[in-house]
Amino acid sequence: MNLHRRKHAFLLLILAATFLFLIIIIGFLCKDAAMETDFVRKNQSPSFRYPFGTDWMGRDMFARTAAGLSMSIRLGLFTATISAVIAFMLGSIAAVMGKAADAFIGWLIDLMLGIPHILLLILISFACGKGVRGVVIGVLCTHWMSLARVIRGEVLQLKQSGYVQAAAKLGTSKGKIITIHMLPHLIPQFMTGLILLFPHAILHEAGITFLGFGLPPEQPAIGVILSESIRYLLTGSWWLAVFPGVSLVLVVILFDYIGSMTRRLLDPASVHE
Amino acid sequence: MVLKGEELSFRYQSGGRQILNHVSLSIESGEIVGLCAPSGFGKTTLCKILGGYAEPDSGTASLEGKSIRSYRGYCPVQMIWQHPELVINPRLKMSQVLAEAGDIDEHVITNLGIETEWMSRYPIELSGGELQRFCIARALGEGTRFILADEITTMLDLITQAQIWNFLKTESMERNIGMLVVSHSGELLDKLCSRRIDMQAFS
Amino acid sequence: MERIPVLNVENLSVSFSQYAGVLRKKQIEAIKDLNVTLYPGEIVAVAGASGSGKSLLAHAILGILPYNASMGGRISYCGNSLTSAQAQELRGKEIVLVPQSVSYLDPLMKVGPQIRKNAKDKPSREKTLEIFNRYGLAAETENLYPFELSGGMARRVLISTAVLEKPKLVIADEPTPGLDAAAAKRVMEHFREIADEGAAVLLITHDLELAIETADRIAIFYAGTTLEEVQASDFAEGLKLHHPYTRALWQAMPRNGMQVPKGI
Repeated sequence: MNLHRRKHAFLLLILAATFLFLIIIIGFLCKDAAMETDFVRKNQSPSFRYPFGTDWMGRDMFARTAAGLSMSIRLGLFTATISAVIAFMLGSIAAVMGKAADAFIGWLIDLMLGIPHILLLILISFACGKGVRGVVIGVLCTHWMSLARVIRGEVLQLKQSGYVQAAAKLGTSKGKIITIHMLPHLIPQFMTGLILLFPHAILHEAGITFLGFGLPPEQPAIGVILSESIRYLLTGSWWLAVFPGVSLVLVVILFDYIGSMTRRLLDPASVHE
Repeated sequence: MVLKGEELSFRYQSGGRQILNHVSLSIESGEIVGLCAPSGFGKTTLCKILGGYAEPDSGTASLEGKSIRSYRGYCPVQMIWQHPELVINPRLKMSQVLAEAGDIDEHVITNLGIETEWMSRYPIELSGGELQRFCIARALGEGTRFILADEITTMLDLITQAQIWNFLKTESMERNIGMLVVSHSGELLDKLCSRRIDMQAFS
Repeated sequence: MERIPVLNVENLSVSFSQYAGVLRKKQIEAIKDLNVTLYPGEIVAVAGASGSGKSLLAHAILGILPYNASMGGRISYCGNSLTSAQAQELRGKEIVLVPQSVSYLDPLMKVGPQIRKNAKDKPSREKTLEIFNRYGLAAETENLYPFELSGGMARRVLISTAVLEKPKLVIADEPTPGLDAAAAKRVMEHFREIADEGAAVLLITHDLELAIETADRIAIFYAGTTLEEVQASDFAEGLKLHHPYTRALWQAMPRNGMQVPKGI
């Protein structure tokens, strides 16, 4: 019955990843088209030529959306990866470097989690002068906490586990214990955590940009597109918000899906599913 | 060689129940000593201290006068646990589990009845008895001088039990390994051990 | 009138699928042809080599086989065939398991509340204490966490969990390892009591001595198949043992010399 489940999951995973990769490429190619204004074709509803319609300056919305998504995905990939690495390092340090380090990192995690996410993001982004730099630093500082906690817990548990203790008595070196017994347990956690960070990073990037504290208005970013389109929604230009919005949701769902698929493929409890 | 525990005391947290209270014992190389007591008398804790897994609150556990916990690398005192599934990494294949102890003599593997086919399996695909054989093999690396066997065959069937003990007895005689055997079965201890320690005597 | 068996297992087979490499799959057969029948008021012991699928039998009856296992053959309960949906329904009520490993307990919950499934009313508290008393557990055991229990105490707690309900079928998966001889015997007496009250007890064990003393019949399993079913009294004497493996089992008992014949 479930003979093909793993194959199935594997295939879908590759498909989803390819799709996201394609968006990045298309976005790249559409970069110039996204900026091109032509008042002859302004405010057109979706057609074969302009599948997502055009805006009040005659810009091709498909090109703008693709460019914006591509930007979001690249930003998301970058920030999520760095966040996950920060989480991994801080989590491991908390677990192995003794009580003082643990207490400090625990305090830091609680502090950061205590402040509302979006508020902190806005503050940091604003303080760093907004723009790409502001967004990146903001997202980096606010997304590592929960994964760091997970990693810390995992490492602590591994340290106490019977097989790690037995390995030490069998003369296995510290380095080997880490590579043989610890990393294989941590890497799936890390990968899953990393991939599940993408949708967060992307949504928050779009969120603060939408609120005006993120990327500058001249950038073809989803947040910018959405906040601009609000003004034209009342005049009936529904396509300005719907297509970019739906695409953003789709990308986020895809990343989420890839995350859970990866978990299922890497988790030992379902490794033979 | 002598494995010695002197005046060992232990409790889990301060104010908790006193599990061990000034327990002393010594085991010589090549000797098989039985250890019995009703459950709750700290037999496992004693093994953990003698094997260097736990630090006593007071007293010392030493081999040749050197504290067990100060041994680096392969520990000459190896403990075999009651629940093998807890001391084997679920992500490793059995061949990798075995490789961790370095070179295990081929006759150990054969005599313990470990089948070649098991080597490519993961721990969850083997039964407790099959896993326990791997744990025993792993504890019989070249450097082993003492074995602490904490109810290692309680989960196993009689034939496997007989197989394992017959093997361990010959092996310990040939290699002059000292053994502490913890078991509830008086008949088993009678059959195996030259002397017996009753932990109830310490309380 | 013919009695209806509480449990009837016919030609049970259980196999596992496993990935060899990334996407290639292979099957491993753990149980090939397993038969056992239990009538009300009866204790049937299932004894055999480790890896003969004893625990899997319990898991198959309870419908809790691992996800990569598939099962063949027929399991019927009180005359009707038992589907996994029904097993789930009956599990913990009419069919209870006394598990093999202490890891079945929730490590974060105190023993008392865990046993009475968090019920806080007085009768269930009293019932817990009564059962604790029956198994020689102190009343304070209630307030301990599972990690504070020694192996033997944990086992007795597991048994208490099962008998709190009034089950029709008790499946005991290695209930005695870790218990001292006196306590093990007492536990066996309680299984006898449960059986005398009309329940059927399936005792999965390797401890033949205890099985001989308590069980009515002993089914010998080896490598996933039923080799033979003997009356407990016959086994004690070493009589009427037909299969070479059964005879080997008898010889391997410490009191009979702990010999292992070649080729087993």
